[in-house]
Amino acid sequence: MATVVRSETHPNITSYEDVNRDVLKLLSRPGPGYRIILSLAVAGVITLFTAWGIQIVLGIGMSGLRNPIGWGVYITTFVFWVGIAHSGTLISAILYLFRARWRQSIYRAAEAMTVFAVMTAGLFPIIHVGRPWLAYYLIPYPNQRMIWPNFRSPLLWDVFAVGTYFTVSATFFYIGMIPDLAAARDSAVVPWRRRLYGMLSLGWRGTNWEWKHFTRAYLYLAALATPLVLSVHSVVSWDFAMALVPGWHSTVFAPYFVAGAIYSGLAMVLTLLIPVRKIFRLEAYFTTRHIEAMAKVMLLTSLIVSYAYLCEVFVSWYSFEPAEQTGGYLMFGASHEYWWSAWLMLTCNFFVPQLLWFRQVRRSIPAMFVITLFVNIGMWFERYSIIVLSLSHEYEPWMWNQYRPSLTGVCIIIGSFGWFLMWFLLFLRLLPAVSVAELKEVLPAPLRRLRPRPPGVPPRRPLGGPEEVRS
Amino acid sequence: MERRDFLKVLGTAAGAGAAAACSPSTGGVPPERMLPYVIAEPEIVPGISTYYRTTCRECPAGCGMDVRTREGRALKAEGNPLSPISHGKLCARGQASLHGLYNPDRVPQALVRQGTGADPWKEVTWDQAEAQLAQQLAGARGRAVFLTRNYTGTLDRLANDWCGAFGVQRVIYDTYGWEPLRAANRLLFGVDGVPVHDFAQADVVVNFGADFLETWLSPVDYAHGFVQGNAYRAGRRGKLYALSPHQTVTDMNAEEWLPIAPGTEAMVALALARLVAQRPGAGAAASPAAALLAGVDPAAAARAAGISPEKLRQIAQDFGNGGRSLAVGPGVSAHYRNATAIAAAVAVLNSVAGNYGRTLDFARLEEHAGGSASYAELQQQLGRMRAGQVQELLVDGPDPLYSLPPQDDVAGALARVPFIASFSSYLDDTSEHAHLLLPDHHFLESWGDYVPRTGVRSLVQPVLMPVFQTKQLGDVLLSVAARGRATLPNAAPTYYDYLRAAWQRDVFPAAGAGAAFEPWWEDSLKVGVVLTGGAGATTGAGAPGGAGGGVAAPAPGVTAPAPARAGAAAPALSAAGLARIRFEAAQFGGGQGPDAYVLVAYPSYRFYDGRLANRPWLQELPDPVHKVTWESVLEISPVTGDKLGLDDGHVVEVSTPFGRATLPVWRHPGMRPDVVALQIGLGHRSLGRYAAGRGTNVAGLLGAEADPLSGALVWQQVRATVKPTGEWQRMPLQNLVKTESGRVITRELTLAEARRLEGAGVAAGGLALQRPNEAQGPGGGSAYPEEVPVEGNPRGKIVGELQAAGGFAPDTVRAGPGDYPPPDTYYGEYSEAQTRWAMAIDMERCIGCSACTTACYAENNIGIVGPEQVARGRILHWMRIERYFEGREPEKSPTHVNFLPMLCQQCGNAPCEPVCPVYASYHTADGLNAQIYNRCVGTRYCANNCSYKVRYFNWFTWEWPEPLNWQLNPDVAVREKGVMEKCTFCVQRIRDAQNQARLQGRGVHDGEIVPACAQTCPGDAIVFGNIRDPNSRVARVAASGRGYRVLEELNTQPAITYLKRVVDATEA
Repeated sequence: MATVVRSETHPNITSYEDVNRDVLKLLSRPGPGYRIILSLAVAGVITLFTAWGIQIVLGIGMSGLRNPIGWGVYITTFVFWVGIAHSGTLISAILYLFRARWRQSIYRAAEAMTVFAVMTAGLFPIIHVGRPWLAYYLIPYPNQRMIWPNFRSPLLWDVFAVGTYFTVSATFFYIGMIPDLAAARDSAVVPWRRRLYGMLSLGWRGTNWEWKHFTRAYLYLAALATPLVLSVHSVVSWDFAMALVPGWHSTVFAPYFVAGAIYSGLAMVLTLLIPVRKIFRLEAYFTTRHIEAMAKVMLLTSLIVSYAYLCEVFVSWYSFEPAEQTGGYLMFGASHEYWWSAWLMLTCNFFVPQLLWFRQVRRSIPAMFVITLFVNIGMWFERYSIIVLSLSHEYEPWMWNQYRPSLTGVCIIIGSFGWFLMWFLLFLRLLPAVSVAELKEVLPAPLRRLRPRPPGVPPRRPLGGPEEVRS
Repeated sequence: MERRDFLKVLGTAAGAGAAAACSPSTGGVPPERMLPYVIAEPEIVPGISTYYRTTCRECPAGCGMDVRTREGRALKAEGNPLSPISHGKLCARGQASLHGLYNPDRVPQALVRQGTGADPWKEVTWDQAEAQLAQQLAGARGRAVFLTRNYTGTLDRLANDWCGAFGVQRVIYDTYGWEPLRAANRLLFGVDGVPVHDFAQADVVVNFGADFLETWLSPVDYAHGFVQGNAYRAGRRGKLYALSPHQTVTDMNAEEWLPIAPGTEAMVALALARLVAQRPGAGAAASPAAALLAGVDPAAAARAAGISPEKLRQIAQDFGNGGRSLAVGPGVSAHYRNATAIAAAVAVLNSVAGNYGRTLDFARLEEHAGGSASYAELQQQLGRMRAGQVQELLVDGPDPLYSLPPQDDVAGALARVPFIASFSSYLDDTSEHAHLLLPDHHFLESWGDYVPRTGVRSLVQPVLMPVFQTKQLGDVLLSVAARGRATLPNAAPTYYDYLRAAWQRDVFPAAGAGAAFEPWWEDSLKVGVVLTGGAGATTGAGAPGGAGGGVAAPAPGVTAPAPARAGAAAPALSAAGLARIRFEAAQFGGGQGPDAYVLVAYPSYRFYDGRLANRPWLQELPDPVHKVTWESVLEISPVTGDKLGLDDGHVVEVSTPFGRATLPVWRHPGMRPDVVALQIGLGHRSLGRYAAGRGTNVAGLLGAEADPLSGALVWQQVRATVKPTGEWQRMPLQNLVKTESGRVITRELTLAEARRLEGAGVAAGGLALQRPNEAQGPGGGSAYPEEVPVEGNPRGKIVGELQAAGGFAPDTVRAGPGDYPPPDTYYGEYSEAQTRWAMAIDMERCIGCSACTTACYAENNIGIVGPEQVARGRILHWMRIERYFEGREPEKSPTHVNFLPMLCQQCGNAPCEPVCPVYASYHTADGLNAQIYNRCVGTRYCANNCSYKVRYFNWFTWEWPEPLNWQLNPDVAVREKGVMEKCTFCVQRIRDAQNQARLQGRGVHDGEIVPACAQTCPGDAIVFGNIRDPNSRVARVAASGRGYRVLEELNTQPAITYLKRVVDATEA
């Protein structure tokens, strides 16, 4: 027996076959727990579309929005999901470029999350507009009337930014998955799955020539996707920063939003992966080391957003402008009607994450799960505070108002989580959730051999992936 | 029916018609409603508006009215500029008269009661109904009562003749009969009437609870006159002192509001009279009041009223200015038990100040205020009914069941009358008890005339075909008389003939207009109002407009307004009459002690006495006082609120010995802590879907008590207790704050500053500069650099070339309010010659009445959202009146109130425009922020970014129940859900005028385009025009040193220049 050499990043994975087995096991027949969660998610989707349908038929007033608060929970949730979408590209592209060796086991799930988060976010502008049946007016399509959209409007930039981001991240997600799809194809026993993976894997054979092009393409796409991490949320932040609304009109918004997006994205990755790790017994793949690494990035981004809060408070106070102050530091005052939202944001995004300074906390799975939940909530309320507080108290005291989300609005928000979860659960069952090929790259060389087949087990078809070539 | 549906139906009908060829049916649609006409009516041209002159009959004031009709439908009411009552203006009630006309709850035809149950009414033909009435009358001779409003004019004579012929006793009753004013004048001067008040000639007005800007006697004329006499112009400003326990909108306009104890008005007025009479040279020693005044102790009166004696002396100082002053009152909100004494004391005050013959003239009376029965007389009639002495009751107008206290037991009295016929257009509380409904035409469907004041005869003519199968009262009376074989003098087949004959007989000779009646009659219909009786026909129109924003009424075509006859024979006070009046503070029934508050009932600007509560526009209009829509609120002072722990919206139970009511409170900073106030006008049991069961009826809290001298209902008679219920309800109002809350929205300056700024012609507030070519006035040149010459400056050259090609180019522009953009900004503009539409709004002239808001609703098809949606902040008032309490502690003790009409500022650098992703919001070449409703997707980004919050979103599709939709202006799109909408300076009027001008090959004249808000403003506060034309009125007004622009520090470059309010009118 050769000495067992353990992987630095995944010490509990002992062989390539383990990887194939453990990962592709997810694609087999699901258990009852999965079905229950999936039905809950589908129920959420039904809620979403029912509430949305009611809203379309009766009018956007069902959302609880009112003058002068034209934007509320829908835009909040839009920004929230766009923020969530950041971690995927961050982990897969930026960390890939920087050769961070801990990314391999989580990037696939993070990318999937990105794609589904953008899909969820993309619903919201359409949910939000007063006449969704005309939402295509925002797209610069050639038309006989020669009417183009207004390229000065940050909302149009949003259309481009989010659209580009979705295209690139979906492409990136798909390209990176091709070798694994081939592996899934090769091991699939259900005919439709084999046909599906066969089609999706684009006839991948794992030849050297294919690998050469694949790795190049992946690198270029990573390079292409990297600036998008910065651009998308910067553009989303300009929806606010470009406006004249006190509390929005601020130069700090772009970096502030990008940091917040990475922050919330990482938190959401952890919120999703910690249960997945537990349920699908992938502890060997998502190790404490991964969680700790993400915790450190979260701590950094938490400090960045907290600095941004401080900036806002200071600038609003320093401006000596009543309108700025109401949406700024005064929002933490007990007399302010949204003080709870502001304090919730501060507690969840600043105070609680300070626990991440402690190694024990970073390495404690339950603690990390709870903290990421806090961060998710905090980041939602950060956007809520920015949007609703500022709109409620603008320059004109006569039109001040208070916003209360309606039942329809809440249903749509909750339903959007169901929508996201549904896609994510389907992803877990239909596509390889962990990168088989890349994971094998980080496993130490001595493990790169097949173990003898136990007696009674039929011979398996050659697996996709590098080992086919090299073995 | 929507326009598209209409076209569909039309197309289908045409197709079906062609196919069926001989079918005589028109599908149930009366042919006169269909377009196009095969043979068109000569005055109806599709797409062309026709205007008819008539007289507003929504309240007794009788304003002249112009109604715009198109394709046979009335669309918009405006004031008749030739009427000395309306001066071309209307109040919100007049604007909303179309909602009375097209009210879906009108009684559609003659109905007879049959059985009981949910719908006891059975349709009958007019023949049957009239026959039944005639038959009933025949049996009730001597035992029938006809309860009517005060008609004045020809109908009054017909009603009297008719009642004489049938042996019917006619009782004229109006809820506000102004009995104390009439009684005091009867006692003191022997005149049973109320003289016309000439506010335009009064520099100083002292008000004792008369809401003369809202409902008192002739509010539009008085508002018009008040603004002329009071607003800053050419270095001088009038003063209004309001002495009342509770501020109405009228009192909010006061230079100084003095919270006097309720019921002490008479004492304070007499104290003032004594102080005025004491002034050297007052010449009042010979007055019959001298003896009375000698016994008055001003200090004691001030003490009793809770104000300082020095303040009284100061008012007296201002007031005794030689006949250029006016004391007014009491209004309904000062109808205490001693209301007649207050009226008499006010008369004494006016008398010693020498105001009779100057600002008050008994030669001109408010005719509509005279001649009606008092409340006490109505009580007698109710007693007769209860005693079974009334066989038959005919009601037209008054709604005693609603407006009288429950103690009068009107329902019980009505139940004892075997037969009640109602002519009311709506099923009001009283009509619900009727046996026969004979719905009258709305006045916009009727012929008639009206005599609002001495020497003014105003014609009522129909402006459209009747909407329902109703019949005009005059026709019914004539027809019933014919059926009952009653002999009427001057009987005619129709009321139109009767009216014409009466005019030919009476008015024509009096007008002295020439030989032929027919042309004169035609002319009279065109003019709408005929002035008879020479000297009596003076109007309140004062000096023409000056640089300070004065706006003269269009020159009347029939008569030139003569100045008030200075030194005309002032009537002598009757010492005997004076002796009959006891001047003492009013007493109040109900509980005593610190927890009992005097209940102040005051008339509603919107609903008058409650008769207009079924007009959705008025229900949705934020009340000028408390800004709450659709609901009644109990107004309490902040002190009371703090004591009881009540904030806006907390529900309380208010109880008096006569009744109780549960309603939310609203903290009114402008009222005394020892009173609570409740508006008259809501709380109907019936009157249709918009009024029934809504709000609280004040009368339900009052006892049946009449002022012994005048017989008037004592509206302020009891103390009420207020008990919090612990509940809170979201009230239907938009604004949650009452002050500017640290923001600077309204600006004000002192009289001295105003004089300095306007006199010197230099900048005020940094931005409002004179144009460079005009700025070289006595004050010196502009502080900003001169225009950069185009030649020799590369930037200027490019700009010049671009603009020469008609393009948009960045540019620096000279300084001045007319110049856009303002100095030191680098935003582009179209060529210099291009029009820029702009407005100037003089805060000195805005009285907060909100007529503009309703006018805007009427012109622009603005949806009615209803109370629930208003409570959520979804009201759509494009034009709103912001009312801010000012002072060091405005929430507790405001020093004054500022009104600011807020509408789209049509910013030059509009924040709303760049953010719209689909170009629904864009800038027109002539400076408007246009909104393309069809293009709007509804992102609401523009509204978020609007600093003025004047963009309103359609959260739902709002409905106009048939036939309210008949009113919709065909020139303006009706918006559906999901669309942002906003003010565009009535762009449809702008384009219409431009098209007219182009057809005639000329330019648009200054003043040719008047947006709906400016058109109806009784104070002429709003001026509209092309600010690029230095000679336009708006450019001249905006150049005032008082000009400023709201939130100009945001560099939005608004097109609206506000002229600062002048406070502290003390002579510097």
